[in-house]
Amino acid sequence: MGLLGGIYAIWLREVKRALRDRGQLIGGVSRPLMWVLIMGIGLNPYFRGEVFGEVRFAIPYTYIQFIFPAIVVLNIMYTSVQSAVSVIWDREFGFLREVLVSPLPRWAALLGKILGGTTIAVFHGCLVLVLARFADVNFTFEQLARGLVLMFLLAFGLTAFGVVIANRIRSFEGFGVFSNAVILPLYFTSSSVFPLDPALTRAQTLVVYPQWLVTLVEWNPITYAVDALRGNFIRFNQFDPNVGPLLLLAMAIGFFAWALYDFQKA
Amino acid sequence: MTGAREQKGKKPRPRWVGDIGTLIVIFGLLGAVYLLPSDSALSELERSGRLSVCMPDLYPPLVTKDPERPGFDRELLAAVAQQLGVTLAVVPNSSMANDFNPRSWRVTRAQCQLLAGGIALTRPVLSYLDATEPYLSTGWAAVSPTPLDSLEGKKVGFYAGLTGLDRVALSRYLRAAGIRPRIVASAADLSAGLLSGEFDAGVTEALTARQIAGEQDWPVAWVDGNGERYPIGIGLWKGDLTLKRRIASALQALEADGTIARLKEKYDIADIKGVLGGGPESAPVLN
Repeated sequence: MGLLGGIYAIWLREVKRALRDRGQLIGGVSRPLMWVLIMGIGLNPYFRGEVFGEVRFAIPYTYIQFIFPAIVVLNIMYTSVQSAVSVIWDREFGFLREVLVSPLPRWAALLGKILGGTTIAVFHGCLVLVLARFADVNFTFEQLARGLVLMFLLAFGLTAFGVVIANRIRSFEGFGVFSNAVILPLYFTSSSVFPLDPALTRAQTLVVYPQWLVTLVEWNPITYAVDALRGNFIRFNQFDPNVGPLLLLAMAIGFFAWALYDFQKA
Repeated sequence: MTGAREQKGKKPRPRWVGDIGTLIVIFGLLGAVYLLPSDSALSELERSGRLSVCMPDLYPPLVTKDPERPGFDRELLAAVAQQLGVTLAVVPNSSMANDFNPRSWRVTRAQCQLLAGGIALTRPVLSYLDATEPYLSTGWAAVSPTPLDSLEGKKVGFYAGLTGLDRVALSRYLRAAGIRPRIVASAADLSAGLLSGEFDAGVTEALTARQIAGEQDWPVAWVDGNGERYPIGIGLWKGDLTLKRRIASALQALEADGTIARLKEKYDIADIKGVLGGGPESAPVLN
């Protein structure tokens, strides 16, 4: 079996296992349904900016359109980080040892594993895209292709980050609690459910929100991932549109290098 | 025992059957939501059988007071209502043509389902409203009995009209070109001045200019100035997606059967193909 064959075998194992994990699949479907149907429809009327009356959300999008790219990110975040739990399984049942003693280089084994997690995460992101018409988010094939590249980079970076976490936390329960404790704060402080209005200067934004929240949003890398997908799917950017894709690329490379460093030591 | 007998009698089900089954359930569920109507705007319209549209009192050629020629938008909306199988109720609003900022129109969802009669799809407008695909465009345009390369050294008449276009930017442009236009009170005065030779050219809002050009068979061009061009569409309340889709398909049908082209001809709305001084018409942009 060549190098590519080895990577493919590990990738296929990850994909098959995720496909057969009904719990993960149910989560992948229920999250977008809950966010689009309940949060999206529920909050839509309060953000549509009536002409005469109090204006709440004066940007050219409905609330569902605004949160739609963020729901893609949420689904990818959960699946990517959770897919790394397989590292703990493999360690527990001895499979990891077999992989590590095989002739396959460690970077290739890690790449296969991360690519497997990435594939599943992108698939879960695509489950959200199925609801695009319902949310009135229209995109061309070119935008879809660009969106898939951005989703791939995000999923790759986060899966690698999940492997880093899994290398440090050795129990399933601990991993579950820790990943939730990481995912939800990162998601909610990524400007996913409310905008930092780009029409306002930073000084004006600080009048609207407390300084610590603005700082958290601006320092959160997921903010720029959400922004990149928003720019792509609904043509709305709150930050420099070049920052998001570059940061996603940097995250993918950086976290892979970190995960590889840990994996080499294992 | 029963399980063991079953296992003996039957071949075990391949695992991929379960995988495919799971995927069918997932996509079936998502597909059902995909096809779910996302709001009640269209069903409410069908229930009431009445399409209410807020329009300015007067905004020729889109809205006029002539019962024979009530205006391009009024006739277009009447045709849309006919396509939808409902009656049209026009709610006049005198503020709509004076300002591009929809907040000053003081319109509410309770008054009308649609807004028409020169809804320029600017950023401020789209911040408050959703809109259909544009079917006309506006901006500053020049009309003259003979084609002109530039306005320099020409006697120019100016009619501001009712729109909220940027008059300051236009006057800055005209001053920079050394032109002191004579302001007239109406589109008819502008047309008469051009016919009598009092003016070499008339500068006004594009829809008025297009109508004068269409009536007299004169050339019309965008005034370069600040490049202010706005597409015009039908405004809807944000989130009324089902109604928007139905209106869009009605407009497509009216475009396909030639109704929109006939209305343009009826109201002498000439095409603007170039910019004053040469150059092709640039696509309408949102500023």
